[in-house]
Amino acid sequence: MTGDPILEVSNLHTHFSTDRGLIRSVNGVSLSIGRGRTLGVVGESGSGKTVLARSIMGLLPSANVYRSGSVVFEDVDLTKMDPKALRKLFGARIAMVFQDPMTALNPVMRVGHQITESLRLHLHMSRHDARESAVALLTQVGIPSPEMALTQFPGQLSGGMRQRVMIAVALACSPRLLLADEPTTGLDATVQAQVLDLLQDLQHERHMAMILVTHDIGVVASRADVIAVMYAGRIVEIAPAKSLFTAPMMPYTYGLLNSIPKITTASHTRLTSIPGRPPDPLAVGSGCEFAPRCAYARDRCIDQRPPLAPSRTPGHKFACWYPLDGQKVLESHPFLQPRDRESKRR
Amino acid sequence: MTDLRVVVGRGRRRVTAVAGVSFSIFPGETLGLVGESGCGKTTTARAIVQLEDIASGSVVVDGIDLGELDRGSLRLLRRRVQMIFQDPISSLNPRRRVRDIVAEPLNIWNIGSKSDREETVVRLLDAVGMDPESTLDRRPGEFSGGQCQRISIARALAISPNLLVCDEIVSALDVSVQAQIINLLEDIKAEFGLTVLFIAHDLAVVKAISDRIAVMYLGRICEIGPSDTICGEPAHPYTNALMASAAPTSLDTAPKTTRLPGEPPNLLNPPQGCRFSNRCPRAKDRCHIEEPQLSECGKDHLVACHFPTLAKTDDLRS
Repeated sequence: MTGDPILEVSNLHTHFSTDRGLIRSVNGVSLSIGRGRTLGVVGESGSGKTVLARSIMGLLPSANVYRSGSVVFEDVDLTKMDPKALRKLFGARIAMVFQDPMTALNPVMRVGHQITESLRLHLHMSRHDARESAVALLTQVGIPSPEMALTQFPGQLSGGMRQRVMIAVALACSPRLLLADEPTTGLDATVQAQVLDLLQDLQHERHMAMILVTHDIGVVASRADVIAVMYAGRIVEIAPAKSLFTAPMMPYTYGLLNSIPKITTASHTRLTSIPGRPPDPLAVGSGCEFAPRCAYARDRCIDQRPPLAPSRTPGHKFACWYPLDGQKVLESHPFLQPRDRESKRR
Repeated sequence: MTDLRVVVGRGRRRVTAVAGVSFSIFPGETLGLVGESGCGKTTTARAIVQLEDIASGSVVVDGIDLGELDRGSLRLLRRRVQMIFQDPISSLNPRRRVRDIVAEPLNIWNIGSKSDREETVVRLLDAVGMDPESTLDRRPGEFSGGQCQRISIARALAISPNLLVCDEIVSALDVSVQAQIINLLEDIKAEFGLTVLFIAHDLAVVKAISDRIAVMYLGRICEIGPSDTICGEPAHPYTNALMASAAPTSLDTAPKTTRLPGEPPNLLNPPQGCRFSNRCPRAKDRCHIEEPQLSECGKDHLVACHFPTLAKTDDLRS
C-alpha cells in the first residue's frame, strides 16, 4: 500500500474461552491501511470479520477473551494503551459505524445530544457551536430537516435515516480512520446504495481511511482499494480490488465470487456453490481450513497450512498451495464479463 | 393445474399492506416476487396460504376460489399449497426430532402407515441433500441455517403440494450456502413437478431462479414480465432503480444519476396518484394525480406507469 499506513495490525489473535472450548475467532491477522484509503474485509458469518473490527477497536469484553498481537494506529500501539487514553482516541481519531443503528444509538437520548456529546467532550466546543456543527453534519449526511431531527429520538427515524445519524455521530470529530461494520446490511437496496455513496463521498472529502467490513462482496467491489477475504479467522487472500476480481488465486475467493447470482446472467443458470459449510470454530487442524470444501485440495493441504504468500501481482497475497491460474478463471468471470454489456445499456 | 389469481386488499389497523394485487402463476413455472421491505410481498404470500384474512379480492387455486370454501374444504385444499419461511431456525420446533418434524404433515393428514411415513421421510431428507442416517434423531439446534432450511423444504414437500410459496428462504443464509439452496430448489422443482412462488428482496437472487418476475412497490405490482425482460429492459423506473442499486456486477459503480432519492413512504399515508411518484425521476404532473394501472407494454410484459421506458429508449437521464 502506498504511503505510510495509518493503521497497522500485526499477527492479531483473538480467542474466546467458552464452556465448549477455546474459540479462535481471529487467528493471526496482519494488515495495514494507508491514509485516505479503503480496505474491504469480506467473509461469511463466523469468519471472524466482526471480531476483527472490534478487536482493532478493543471493544471486546475483557473476561474470557485473549488478545495478542499489535494494533498500531499513528505510531501508537492500541493494545498497550490504558482505557482512559483509548477513550480520548475513540470518537476523536478513530470512529466506528455499527451494523444495527437501533441498538448502537441510545434510544432515549435525542439525536442532537448524541452528536454534540463527542463534539463537547473531545473538541471542547460550546453548547451553541456544537449545535451548529451538528446541524451542518446532519445536512452533510443528507437528512432533509436537520433542525427537526436534532430534537427527535432514534425510534422516530426510519432505518436509512438512523444509519445516516450514526454516520454523523461517527464523523462528528473528523476521525482519521472509520471502521464500518456491515453499515448497510439491514437496509433496503435503494437506500443501501445511497448510504454507501454517502460514506464514500464523505471519505474523499475528509481524506479519511476506512475499513469496510461486509459479507457482501458486491458492496466492496467498486468501493475498496484493497480487499481482504477472511475464512475461519484468517485472511486467505488480500489484493487490490481489481486484481482480486480478475485473478483470484485462492479457490475460496473464486467460489465466493461465483456463488453470487448476477443480474446479468440468464435465469436458471446454475450457480457455482461451495459444498459443505464453514469449519467448526472449536476444531483446530494443522492444514488449510478450507481444504475439506475445496475441489483442488490434495494431501499437502490437509497436513500443512499454507502461509499468506505474495503472488506475481504487487500487493496480491494469498494462502494456498495450489492456486488457481488467473488466466483460466478470467474467461468465465461474471464480475467482469457483463460489464461491457451493462455499460452499453446505460 | 394451478391458476392462481390474487386480488387482495386488506385493512388491518387501517394499513392497507396489499392494495389490489393481481397475478397468475401457471403450472410448472417459478414466479419471482421482488420488492423492498414493507412493500407487501410477505403479506401477499400469507394471503395465498390463507394465513391472513383477505379484505377484498380472491385467491383462486385450480379454479377454486378459496374465499368461498367452508373450513373443511379449505383444509383439504391447503394440502396443495405449502409455504417455507424466512427464518429456518425459528420455523422448526427446537424440541422435536427431525424425523417428527418432517413426518408431521403426514401425521396430520394421516397418510400411509407408520413404516410408509418413515420411508417417505428418509426419501425426502435424501432428496434435500441431508444424510437421513445421521439426521433423523437430531434436533434443529444441532444444524446450521442452511441445513435447517433443507429440513424445512423436506417438510413442505412431505404431502406433495402443487404450489410451494418460498418467502425469503435464502436471505438469512451466507452466499455460498445460498447458492446451494437455490440449486436445490431448482432440482426439487423439476423432480417433484412443482410450481413455485419465490419471494425475495434481492433482484439478482430472484432473477436466478424465476421464469417471470413481479416487482412490488408499496402494496402494488408495478411491473410483471419474463425475467430476462424485467432485468434486461425494465420499463418501470422503480425496476430500473432496483437494478442500479443491486450489488454492482462490475468494479465500476453504477452512475449516481440512477440512484433513487428518499425512502419508501409510509403505508399509512401513501402518496396521491402513482405510489412511486414522489421518488420517481420521471414523474410529471399526471403521475401525482392519476394512479397508473397495469397495462401491456410488450410480450407478456405488464407495467403500471404513465411514462414507461419502451424497449431501446432510455429517458432516465433526460
